[in-house]
Amino acid sequence: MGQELCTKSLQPGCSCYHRSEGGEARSWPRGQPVAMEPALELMNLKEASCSMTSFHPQGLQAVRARKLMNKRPRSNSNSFKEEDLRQGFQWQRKNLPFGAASSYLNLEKLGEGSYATVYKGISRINGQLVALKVISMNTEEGVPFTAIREASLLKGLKHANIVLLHDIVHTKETLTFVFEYMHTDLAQYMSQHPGGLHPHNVRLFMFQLLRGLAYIHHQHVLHRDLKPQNLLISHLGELKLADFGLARAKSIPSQTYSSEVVTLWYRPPDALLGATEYSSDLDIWGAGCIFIEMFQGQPLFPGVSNVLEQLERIWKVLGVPTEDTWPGVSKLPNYNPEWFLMPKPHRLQIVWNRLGEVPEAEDLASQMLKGFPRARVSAQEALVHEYFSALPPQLFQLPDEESLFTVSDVRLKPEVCDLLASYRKNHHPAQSSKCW
Amino acid sequence: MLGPSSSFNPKSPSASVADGVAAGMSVSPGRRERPPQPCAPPGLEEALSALGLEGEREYAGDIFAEVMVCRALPGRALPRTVTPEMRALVVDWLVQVHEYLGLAGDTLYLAVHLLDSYLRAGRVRLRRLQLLGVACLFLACKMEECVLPEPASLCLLSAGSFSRAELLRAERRILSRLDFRLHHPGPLLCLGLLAALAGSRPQVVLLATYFLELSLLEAEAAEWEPGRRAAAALSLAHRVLDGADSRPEPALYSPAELDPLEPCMVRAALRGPAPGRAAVFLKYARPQRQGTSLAAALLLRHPQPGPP
Repeated sequence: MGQELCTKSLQPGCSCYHRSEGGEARSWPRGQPVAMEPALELMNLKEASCSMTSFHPQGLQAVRARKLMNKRPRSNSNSFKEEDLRQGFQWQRKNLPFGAASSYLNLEKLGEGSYATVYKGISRINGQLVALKVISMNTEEGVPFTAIREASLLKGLKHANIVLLHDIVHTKETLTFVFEYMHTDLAQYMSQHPGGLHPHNVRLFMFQLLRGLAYIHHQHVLHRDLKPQNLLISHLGELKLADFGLARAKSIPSQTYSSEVVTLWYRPPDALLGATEYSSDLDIWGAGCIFIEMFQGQPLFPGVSNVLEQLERIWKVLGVPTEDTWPGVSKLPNYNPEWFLMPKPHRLQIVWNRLGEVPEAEDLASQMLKGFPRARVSAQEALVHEYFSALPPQLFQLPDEESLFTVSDVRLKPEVCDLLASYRKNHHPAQSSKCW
Repeated sequence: MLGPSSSFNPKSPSASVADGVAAGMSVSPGRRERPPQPCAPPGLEEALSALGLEGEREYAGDIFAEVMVCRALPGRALPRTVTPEMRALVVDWLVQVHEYLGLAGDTLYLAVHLLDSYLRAGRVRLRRLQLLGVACLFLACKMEECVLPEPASLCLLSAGSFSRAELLRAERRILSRLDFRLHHPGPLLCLGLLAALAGSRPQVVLLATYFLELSLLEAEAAEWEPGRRAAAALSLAHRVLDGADSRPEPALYSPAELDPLEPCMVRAALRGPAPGRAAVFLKYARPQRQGTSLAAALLLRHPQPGPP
């Protein structure tokens, strides 16, 4: 096996081989990087934010004109009209700066993930705001597998509640995923509106979360890393699932998934107990946790540092599972037979009081937070739960790619602290609001 | 509360998705334009359970539709510079590397699928065919495996004919040419599903897996939908072991649809360990695979009259 294959020997004629090599030289330049792109870093952020006020491609031209570049990046997308851009701008060809792809301008750093840095950016093609996820190549292992899985899954997913991957830009050192820009994420939104969200908004967010989950589960994709940070929110209130780095197509049963997925707080008890075969019900548990967290303004099981502690917190609410309530539970690796000393289960609204204030919310939450994975409600079933009957009926007939907010009268209500902030603004103009 | 039994209801909306009749959110836009397809047969949920996918009963119809009707690669199979023999040589070597590294079955099918997709999408330098093959395997590992093989060991297995940097560059080139569209439910899951539906014996499944893997060596196999390819392997295995009249039930494809696929599997099984195409034969001759390839060659030469 340790061999160099000589396909040449199978060649019918030798001359043919030489010809083909000459012909191929352009399509696979050996020793040449895939695409060498000049950098374009926006040195002056102030300048950029000025140009953003006149939010039009021409408005950016002043900024761009001084940026020097020679080549366009290799782009996989044909969704943008690159020709228009080429004609629209002057491209200078000296003093190449160093760095990023030229179709997009980096504006500011939004965050840093495990394998990527995310920037806010502007598309030079249509002037839209974008999020640029810049993935640096690992010199040992090449393109991170999370990036490969995320992109290959997102290529097949088109839904109003799934973040849209516009474009992929290859450069020598990095790979940039160009996503639609979203205003904030649910974690930030909740921290900006402490004390729990408006019940009306919780319903809209939850409906969108379940809509996105139902869609990916139908495509047999598991997200596997649901948490408020991964749910992006637009200024309208559109919610989109993002960060599919741990997601995978779930149709492959031959392999057991690593149980090291899903942030501890949102991890279901079956995964905590060491089960390695799990399916869409994994995401449902996480969605249930997020559901209650939106009401309460607090994570359900915060401050937990290890798996056993997390399990005990869960048992305190749900009660300890038995073979009757959960067939096969005692055979899971982390099962502890001494758990029967734990207290009896509680109604969820006793533990989390704000659940009781909204009709049917507790029932939906309890169907999502079942210990036994098979007993959990599916995303598709949850969407038709009584809890959502207060929503306009058109929402249940929307095509996949249509947002909830295309239906008239569907909008977020102001959160309590927004009202407070506007009150303060009127009465104490000096005090600035942290809420948006 | 919905108990687990309620999802067995055959009239549940998701089970009918394979007919393409359900409307609204339960059907993805991509699914509508697909060609006519085998309907989700009764017993599908149980078959999924047998595969350890009981959590997906709800989406059984979707999964079935997705994996069984996954489209084959269109167009001409190979660029003019690459002959079927060259392709077979590379695939044969990939089978060896795959077995040596102890990778999952799906990884091999995905690697060969990526290789075929790449070859269809443009030209390739012949000297680089082995590098291309191993880069496809590396990418398939990144999609499927929990533990990745070291790039350095992949270079070693090719006797140092390329460097790690070249391997990583090839990886980028494949991603770029295939536009990151790597997701492909391969024929192995189809085979598992079909065998569970038909209640095939383990021995039959093993033989069918062997036939299916032999088809990897054939360039034309990429033009067959994974579902049809798996059904052909299973049907052939049933007839070889249980006599000429036995075909797996339910028959999702007609014999006319399956028969054209079988000769190449029979040919390859009868050929034995031919130079440059021996890896699959030798792999299935090992005791842990019960000498399947030896038995298959024998049975194909001297067909058994009926079930044992």
